[in-house]
Amino acid sequence: MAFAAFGSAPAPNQGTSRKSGKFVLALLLPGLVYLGLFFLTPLISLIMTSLEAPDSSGAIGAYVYAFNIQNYADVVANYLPQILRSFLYAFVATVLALLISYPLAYFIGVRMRRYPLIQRLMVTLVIAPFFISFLLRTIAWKQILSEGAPIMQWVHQMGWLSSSQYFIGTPAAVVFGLTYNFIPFMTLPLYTTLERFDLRLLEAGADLYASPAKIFRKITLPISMPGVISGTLLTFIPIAGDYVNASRDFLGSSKTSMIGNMVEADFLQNQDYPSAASLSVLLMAVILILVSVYVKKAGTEDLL
Amino acid sequence: MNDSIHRDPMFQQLLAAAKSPVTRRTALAGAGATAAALALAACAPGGAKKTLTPAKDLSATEKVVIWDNWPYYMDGNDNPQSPTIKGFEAQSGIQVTYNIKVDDNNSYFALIKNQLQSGTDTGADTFCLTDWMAGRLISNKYVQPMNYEAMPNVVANYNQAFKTTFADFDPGRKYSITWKGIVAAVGYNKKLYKQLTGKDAPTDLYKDILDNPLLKGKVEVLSEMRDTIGIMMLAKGIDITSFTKADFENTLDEFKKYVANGQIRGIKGNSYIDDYKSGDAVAGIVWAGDLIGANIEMKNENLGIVLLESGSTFACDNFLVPMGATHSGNAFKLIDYYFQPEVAAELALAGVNYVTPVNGAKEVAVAKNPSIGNNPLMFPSDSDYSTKYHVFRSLTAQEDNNFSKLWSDASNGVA
Repeated sequence: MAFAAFGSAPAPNQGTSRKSGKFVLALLLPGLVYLGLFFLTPLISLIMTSLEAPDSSGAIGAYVYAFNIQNYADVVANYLPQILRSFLYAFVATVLALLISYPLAYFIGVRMRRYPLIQRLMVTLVIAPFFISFLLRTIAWKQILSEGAPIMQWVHQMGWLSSSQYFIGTPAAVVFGLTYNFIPFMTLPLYTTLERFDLRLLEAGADLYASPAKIFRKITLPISMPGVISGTLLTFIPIAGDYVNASRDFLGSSKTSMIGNMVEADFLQNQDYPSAASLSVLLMAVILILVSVYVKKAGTEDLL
Repeated sequence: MNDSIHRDPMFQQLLAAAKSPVTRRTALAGAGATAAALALAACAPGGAKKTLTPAKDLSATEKVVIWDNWPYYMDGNDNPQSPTIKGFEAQSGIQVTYNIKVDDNNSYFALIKNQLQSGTDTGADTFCLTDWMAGRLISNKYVQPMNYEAMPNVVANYNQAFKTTFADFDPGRKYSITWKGIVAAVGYNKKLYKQLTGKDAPTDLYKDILDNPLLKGKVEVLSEMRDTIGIMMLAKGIDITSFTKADFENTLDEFKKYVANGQIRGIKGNSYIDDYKSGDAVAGIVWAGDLIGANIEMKNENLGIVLLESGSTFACDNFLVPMGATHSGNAFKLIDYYFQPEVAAELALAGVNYVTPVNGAKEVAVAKNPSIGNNPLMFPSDSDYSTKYHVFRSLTAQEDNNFSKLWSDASNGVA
């Protein structure tokens, strides 16, 4: 309504445009300074670091700027399995999150419309995990799914896993953790598109003798596409760079290391800052390319 | 279960972080240090190092001391206001801020590296780091010499083995003083080990654990290279006080093989103990003190420790006082306080199950609680130090760099 009020206001006088131009610039300034200080500076510093080479002393963590592009080739050669694994896990976890979130968001956004109170309660429940630290929740899952805990004892009793098999430390555990942790990022955008979805379109579809499956394919899914796109982006991007779930201290093992874990190891353990930085730049570039192609294919450039 | 999450170091850190918001002073100090580091980096890119000197000691006027340490190292369940800390405060009038902030030598070093290099305040007046990292700080001249004149108890009660045999990284203990000694040995879950293998206890690292198919995926080792590779080398009959590069690389290749074939599932820092408690880990390489603590906590004797015939590794965490420390005098008083046999024994009796370097503590502990005082894992005899326990030799800077990288890659499953 407020926007409508602005919309009906008379167009600004052309004579004041130069003045307002400065005014707009002044309004933009804090944002530009912020971007310059907290995005551009670290980014440039990161790129510079990624091109460093060890200094002559050979001391641990001592590097000098050298325009050493070789770093990029080295990290790809050394960490290719981890890089591929990151994108594979991110893809699987995103698909799983979508499969779980879509019915959930549909249920809350469409079926629960008649009960606004319950609807709001359910949205709150989707957001509720955010009230507790991401790390603590992941540690909690590690404990819940450990061998000594009742769930796993039951799984062994049922014969789903033999006594020599286990869950924590396997790729399945990591993908489980990733999916769990990022489901709200998928559910919320889906919910916001489905919540505004005009149900009369479904009636129209039914009136034209479309089967429920066809109605979903031709009406519901295309209309909720913006939610699907933003949801998948909001899950895929952070999952590809996640280093908590796959960490050996959480749900992973040596065999589940992702890019994030290698950046962490190079940065904190090996003090190999150039490798860590080139891996980070690489991750950023690959994600940027993947996302651009995806958005282009999906035909929703408006999102970027 | 509830207990174990509260003892989890990761949880403790999160809790500590939540409890101690960044104050204006630390924020300013951080900003200042960053600015200083940037300025330094700008002025001297990779150039000659400046010689650092100890910061001005404000101990006479500021009665405070900040101490960063590892988890499980303080009585009263790691309470920053534990009885021994309160005892020191009452005796000296110095307020102690005890931070459980060291979860890993490398990551703690990465945290304070810039401040160490520039000789500015790291935020702690003293911290305890493991021998090899202490050696690295000492050889870089990042830490102040210890003032033994201010520490009569240290002079009187410092065990000779700790002072000399375990100090090849700091001859004469000029810059470091032992906080605790740590025995790394073979640990196992008695019930599950019997269930899976039919045997009572492992006696050989390779035969009974690493090459035993019945334990596939149930083996967990320490992420501390010197302990895990050290015990593996000892089991192969290699002298770890004088091994060669080839010895290291061969053993590391074996280690990689056990990781790749799934025999070793976990390679962890402090959090490994939770897996031994939960049963995810059945056997492997552990720190003896942690298993003693876990048994006490769970009120059973379910976790066993074996000192293999082939030998165990021994390392110490050492007090260091960084150049930028502004309360070095208070730090020396604090170190001295913990070198009283009564205080050292009090820690051991209150569940800090690591080896004390303080002579006379054993006698006090035996008098109060014989089962603890006579535990050879907590109070080894002097002959144990020379026969059962072995110290991983000091590495040159180049070896350190090279081996650490190889080890990190192996633990992360990088081929």
